[in-house]
Amino acid sequence: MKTSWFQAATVAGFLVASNAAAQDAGDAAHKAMHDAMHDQATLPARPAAMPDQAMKPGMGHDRMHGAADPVGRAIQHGAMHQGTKDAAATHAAAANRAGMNAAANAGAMGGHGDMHDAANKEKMKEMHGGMMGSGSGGGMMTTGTTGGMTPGTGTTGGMTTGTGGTTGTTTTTTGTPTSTGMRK
Amino acid sequence: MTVPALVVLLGLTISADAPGADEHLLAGARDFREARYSESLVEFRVAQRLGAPDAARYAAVALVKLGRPEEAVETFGGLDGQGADALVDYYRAVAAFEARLYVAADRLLATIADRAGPRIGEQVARMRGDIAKALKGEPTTAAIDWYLERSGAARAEGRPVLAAAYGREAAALSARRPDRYRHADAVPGGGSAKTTPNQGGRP
Repeated sequence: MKTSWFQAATVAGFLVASNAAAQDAGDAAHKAMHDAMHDQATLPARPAAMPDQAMKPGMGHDRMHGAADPVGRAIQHGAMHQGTKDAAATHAAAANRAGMNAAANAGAMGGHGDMHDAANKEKMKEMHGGMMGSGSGGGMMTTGTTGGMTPGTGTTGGMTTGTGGTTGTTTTTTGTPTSTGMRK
Repeated sequence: MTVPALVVLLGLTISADAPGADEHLLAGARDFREARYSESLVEFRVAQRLGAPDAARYAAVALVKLGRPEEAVETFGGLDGQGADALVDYYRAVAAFEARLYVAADRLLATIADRAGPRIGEQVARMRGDIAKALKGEPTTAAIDWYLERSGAARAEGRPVLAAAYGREAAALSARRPDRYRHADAVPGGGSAKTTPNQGGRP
């Protein structure tokens, strides 16, 4: 029994020492973090701006504002579809007229609007990837997610314009490849 | 033999987690000091799981540095009250600021001014000046709509702390308008998911 109590006292002493060491380690960690936080404390990257101010033109696109900068986004979208500036601009204009800038017109655009919302470029690329024309400026997609694509080959052929905000649609298509692309 | 075994068992139970957590805290602090914020976040998360009581707020600080203010606000546990550490509160205010929760940020910064050192104090003053400019004048209805929309979205995503923070911000802004625009929607605890955009075009 004496041995047992001796062992117990030894273990208890060890534990006290261990806890003290652990406490020291904890204190050291907190001190290190405190010093690091102080050294790394910087000002916010952007100046304060109310959300409605941040949406004003010229203040950049904010990821939290899906409806911001519709024109710029439409141009981007156009450029994704077509290799030429003209085609991109045409598409951008059509997109604008059709009101593709926000999800509000998603219904009218047959699901196309969804692709423009939230500035989700990666998703847009993925969704549009299979619908893009292979020609230089030729080819245009349909507005539906299941519509076919006609891979146009001409430099001007194939661009279809939006017909305005009521439908946003253009064309076409059965998915059958043509050599000239779709033209409205 | 029973007693020592009991003591050993008890000791192991008590001390098993703490040293490991402290090691991760220390590793996280080192990473943070070297601006390896992603790595420090991982270390703090591990320490948090191992039971380190301060690990969560350090993880939140790392999230601030990683430019993830909304997650930081959540990890801090919200923006209410004054914390024990002025430096942590400074990061909490930065998280609020970067999430556009300016009223909350200013409230936190006001409590820091007297507790921080001169460098932090100067930064606090600059942030407060910046916020004062942004909040100058009557808040627009569009701004209040935005906060309520964010609150509703956060609530729908199952993020009640964030929803509450945006809801309180909307309430504070609404209270600065004579018409208290949508104040009923901006109740503490988060705004309504149902939003009524400013269709009338009122500023």
